[in-house]
Formats: sequence, structure tokens, C-alpha cells
Amino acid sequence: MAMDKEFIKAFSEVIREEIARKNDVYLEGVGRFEFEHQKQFQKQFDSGRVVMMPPKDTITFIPEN
Amino acid sequence: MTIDKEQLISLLEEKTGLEREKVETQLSELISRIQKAAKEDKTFEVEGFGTFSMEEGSLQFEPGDILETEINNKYAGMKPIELIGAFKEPESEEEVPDVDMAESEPGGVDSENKWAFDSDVTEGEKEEQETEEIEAEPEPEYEEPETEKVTESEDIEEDQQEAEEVFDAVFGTTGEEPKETETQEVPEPREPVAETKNEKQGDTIGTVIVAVVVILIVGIGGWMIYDFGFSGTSSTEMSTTSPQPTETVDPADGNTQSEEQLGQDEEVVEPEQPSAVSTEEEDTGTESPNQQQDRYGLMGEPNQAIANGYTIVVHSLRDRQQAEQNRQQLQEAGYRALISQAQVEGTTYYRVGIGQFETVSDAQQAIDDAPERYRDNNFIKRIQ
Repeated sequence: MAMDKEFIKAFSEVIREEIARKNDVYLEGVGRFEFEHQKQFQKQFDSGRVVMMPPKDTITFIPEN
Repeated sequence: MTIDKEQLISLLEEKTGLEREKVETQLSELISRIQKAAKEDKTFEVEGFGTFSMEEGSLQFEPGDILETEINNKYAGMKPIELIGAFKEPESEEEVPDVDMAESEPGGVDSENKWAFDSDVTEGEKEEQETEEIEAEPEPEYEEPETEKVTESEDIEEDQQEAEEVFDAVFGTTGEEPKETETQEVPEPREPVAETKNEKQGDTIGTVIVAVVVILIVGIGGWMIYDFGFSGTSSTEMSTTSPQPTETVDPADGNTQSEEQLGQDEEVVEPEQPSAVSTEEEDTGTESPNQQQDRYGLMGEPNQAIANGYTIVVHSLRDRQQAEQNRQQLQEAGYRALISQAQVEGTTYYRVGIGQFETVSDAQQAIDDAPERYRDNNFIKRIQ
């Protein structure tokens, strides 16, 4: 069966919107998409330079067994 | 809150306008395709969303660019900030190409409020920092060649000075002529130096006379060659030699402007905008102008009908008036300029964006046509 393009687009948008609202999305048989906030952190390079990396919001995926 | 299968189906039903049954079958089809690809150890890409792949026996998901940008919308545009106080060995500048050279204390950036965008106390300061970021980034590209060329030109200047001094010592003139950078002249006036030393050492009148005669001959000869070179080749020499100093000076000027004239940045950079505008207008002129104006694009009037899509944010300010002023300036320059509001840590920011684009990649491409000062300092966000 062919996948509907509109459906794929809507699927992407729905998950994107829910994650942006900090909701987890459970996709049965695949896994769980979660919102994750990474705090800012200091990073030191071999040369001695130290930079502060900015905070970041990301999506993480936890696979179902 | 977790969105389960039922809720997901409802949301998809709402979004697509399809019947529930069809949504269910489409969703289970999608899930089975992902599972099938996983079993076969293949990657499965969902367009505009991300890629599923098998790694070490477990299913992994890599979000796509659009998804990543959307989710990180709040912190979009933030870049690593160098902690200058904690700087140990200032080497290998190119390791972190995107680092802002914003000054901060060792433990400096304590709160997320202090980051590049959406962070400053007053609009004036904000403006200054924005422009600092804009100008600071190209530095690594220019630094090395600049210092090398500067030393070269300094050497030339030193040589010129030496030549002038020797010339003056011999002829007792103020030596206005030696403005040329031709290297041939340098050794010639040096000969008299050796001769003048001999003159001091020599005791006899004969050697003194010979020395004086030699000095005069060499001096006059040198002067004549010098004069010839000056008058005969000055026009061509100037055209060939002058680009070197101007090339070396220009980047330096650019940097000093960025470092020292931040407050005047608007005035310095803005003259570039009309040229960008004119080229853009020419470009759009070759395309179908009606489509450009009516739909998405960088130039023209904002299309109020566009609710979805992306824009290139070039200012993010707390002061609405300042934001409006910036928007007007950009609009007058021919860009589709729009303001959107964003709440960050309880503070409202007014983001001035240029252009309306259907996709993130369209917006990314359009950055090349944005005013130069914004090209390295912007972020793409969804039009609200």
C-alpha cells in the first residue's frame, strides 16, 4: 500500500508540535520520542581554549525492545 | 504528558482531515515499514522528520534538520562563546570556527539569559553586541594574512625610511621624493654609507677627495635613476604597487571598524544594502515577478496570507520601537521585513525577520542575498 504524502507530512508536523510542547510521543511498536533540554556547558579544547556551549532543546528517541 | 496511540490518531485525523480508519491504516503502514526496514538492517527516512536506522541491534533515530531547528527554536542562533579569562594557549584559531569572540568572565556565562540572542539589558547594548557578533566572525579568515601583510608593508616602510635617512645624510635634503616602494633604490643609497665610513677612516686628503667624488657620482647617478624611476615609472608603479598596501589596509580597516566602531556600525554597513537590493531586484526580475511577490521570497511586501513557513531573524530586541525601526529600515531597503514576538525566560523579545520561505533550505539559500552584515549572524525560525 502506498503511503499518503499528506499523511507523512501531517505525521511529521504532529510529532514536531507535540515535542515542541514538551510532550512525549509514544509510537507503538517503534519507540518513544521525548523532549530533552541540554544545559549549557563548558568545553575545553586541546589547545587550551575554553568555550561555553549554548543550551539546546533536542528530541531523543528511546526504542521499544 | 505522553501522547499515546489513540491521541496520536486523533491529532493526525484533525491535521489531515482524513477519516479515522484511513489514518489508522496509514499509521500502521508507516510503523510496519519502519519495523521492516529495522529488521532488514536498512535505514528508513521519513521526509521532513528524520531517519531510523539500526545500530548495534537497536533502533536509532536521527532527527532531520527541520525537526531539529523547530525543536531548538528557543535557542536558535546561539553559538559557543569563548571564555577569554580561561584562555590558556591562544593557538589554532580554526578549531571552533563559529565561536563568538564575546568577552566574558571565566565563569562568565552563568545563566541562559546571557547568551548571544535574546540576552541583553538595553537595546543599545543589544545592537552593539549584535553588530559585534556580525563583524567578529570573519576575523579568523583575515587574521593571518593581515598580520603577514602588515609586517611586509612595515618592512617596506622601514626600508624606505632607511633610504630616506641615507639620502638625507648624503644630500642634506628632507627627501620628499622617496615615496616609492621599489626595492631597487634601497641598495643604491646604501653604498654611500659604506663610502662615508671609509671617509671617516681615511686620513689622507686624496682618499677624502676620491670618496667625495665617488659619493657625488653615486649620489647623482642614484638620484638620476631615482628621478627617472620616479618620473618615468611613477604612474605605472603606483598602479602596480599601490594595490598591495590597499589590500593590506582594507581588512585591517574592516577589523578596526568591527572592533572599535561598533556604535557606528549601522552607518558603515548600510550603504551595502542598496547594492544587495539592486542585485536582488535584478535576480528577481529574471524570474516571474508575480509569483515572487505573491508567494514566498526575500524581497517585496510581506504576504500576510502566509501563516506557515520560515523567516530569517536578523534582530531580536526587547524594545518594540527599536524593532519596528529596524523593520522599517529593512522594508525601505526592499526586504520583506516582519516582526514576531517570542517569550524567553518570561521576557518578550521582538524578532525582526526578513523574507518568507516555504522551507528551511529556501531560507538558508536566501541568506546569501541578505544584507552582508546579517549573513553570518541570523537564525531561521518558523513564521508565527
